[in-house]
Amino acid sequence: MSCEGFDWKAYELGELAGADGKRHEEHLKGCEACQAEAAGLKLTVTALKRLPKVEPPRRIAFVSDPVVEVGWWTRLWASGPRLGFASAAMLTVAILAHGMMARTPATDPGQFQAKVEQEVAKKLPAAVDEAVAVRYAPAMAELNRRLNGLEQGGLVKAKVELDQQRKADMQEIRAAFELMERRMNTRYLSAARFGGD
Amino acid sequence: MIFREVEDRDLVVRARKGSVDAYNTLVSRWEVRVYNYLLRITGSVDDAMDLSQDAFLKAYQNLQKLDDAGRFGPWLYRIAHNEAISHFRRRRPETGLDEVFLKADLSPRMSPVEVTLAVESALDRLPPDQKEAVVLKVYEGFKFDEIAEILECPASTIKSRVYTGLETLRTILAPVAKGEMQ
Repeated sequence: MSCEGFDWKAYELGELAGADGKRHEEHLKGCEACQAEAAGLKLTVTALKRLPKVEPPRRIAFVSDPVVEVGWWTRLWASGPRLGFASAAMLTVAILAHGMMARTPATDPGQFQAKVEQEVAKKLPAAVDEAVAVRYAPAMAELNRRLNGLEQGGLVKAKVELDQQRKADMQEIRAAFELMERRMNTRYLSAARFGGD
Repeated sequence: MIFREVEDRDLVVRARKGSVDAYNTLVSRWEVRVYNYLLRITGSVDDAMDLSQDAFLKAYQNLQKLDDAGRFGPWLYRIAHNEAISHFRRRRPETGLDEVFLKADLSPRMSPVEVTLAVESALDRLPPDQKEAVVLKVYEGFKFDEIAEILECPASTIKSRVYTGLETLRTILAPVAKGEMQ
């Protein structure tokens, strides 16, 4: 009969550690009854452990073996295409983010129209003066030439021809101005559409 | 044991991320122990092999459900235990406690093979719940708390099963134990 307060089964099965284990060890040195109890249990456990560990007749089929098929989604997700898919997704997001951040804010049509008119008013007079100077230079030269000729020929006939020529020149200049104005408007609109000033 | 636990945790984490190699390493590490555990509670090589295979497959399929990656061992044993229970329920009509080895001669001078047979027969005389608790304690080296986790019952119940089983085994194996002393 072993002493109370000592659990020799727990001791032999390795459940006791630390102070409790040492207390059992110390007690065992001087108690014959507990020594017999502990020795009997130790022999039983030793006999049980004589049962050899057995190797399986064949190895367990590994996950990579054909018998263990993994789902198509798991295979896809664990493979190279997963990286490709992730990379493509990240690239797409980066492109979209860049486009959103770099884009200029939409211009108000009314403000834009006023800006165009302001630019036209600023640049048009100088352009007109320049065009007039270019277009009138030959006409003035011709006029001088004919005035010189009038001194030698009929004055009335020369005057009529001169008036007709002047009207034709004026129409041509006006048409040129209109064309130039349309071109400048078109250019400003194009520049504004592609993000310029 | 602590080192192994750390390594198991790492392997489980990698296996969860899709590393088949990591899981195969876990299989290599645990297959002999799980097979022997199942062999001792079923007593059949074929059943132990099939149940081991099923346990490892089920563990792989449910790896995401393992709460603590460092507790892979007890969790795997619980799966193996549940597989064995399902197996016993399926085969209940044709099986009971195997009495084949109960007539083993327990003479004081026994060969190693005879000792093996005597121990096997002694284990087979235990009720299944006591036998499983003793196997997990003596052969697999789990603590009472861990066995309680595997078998999903209180540690006090496990302790009672192991102690009762050990008393029975001490009585049955007394001649063997004497032979061991001689």
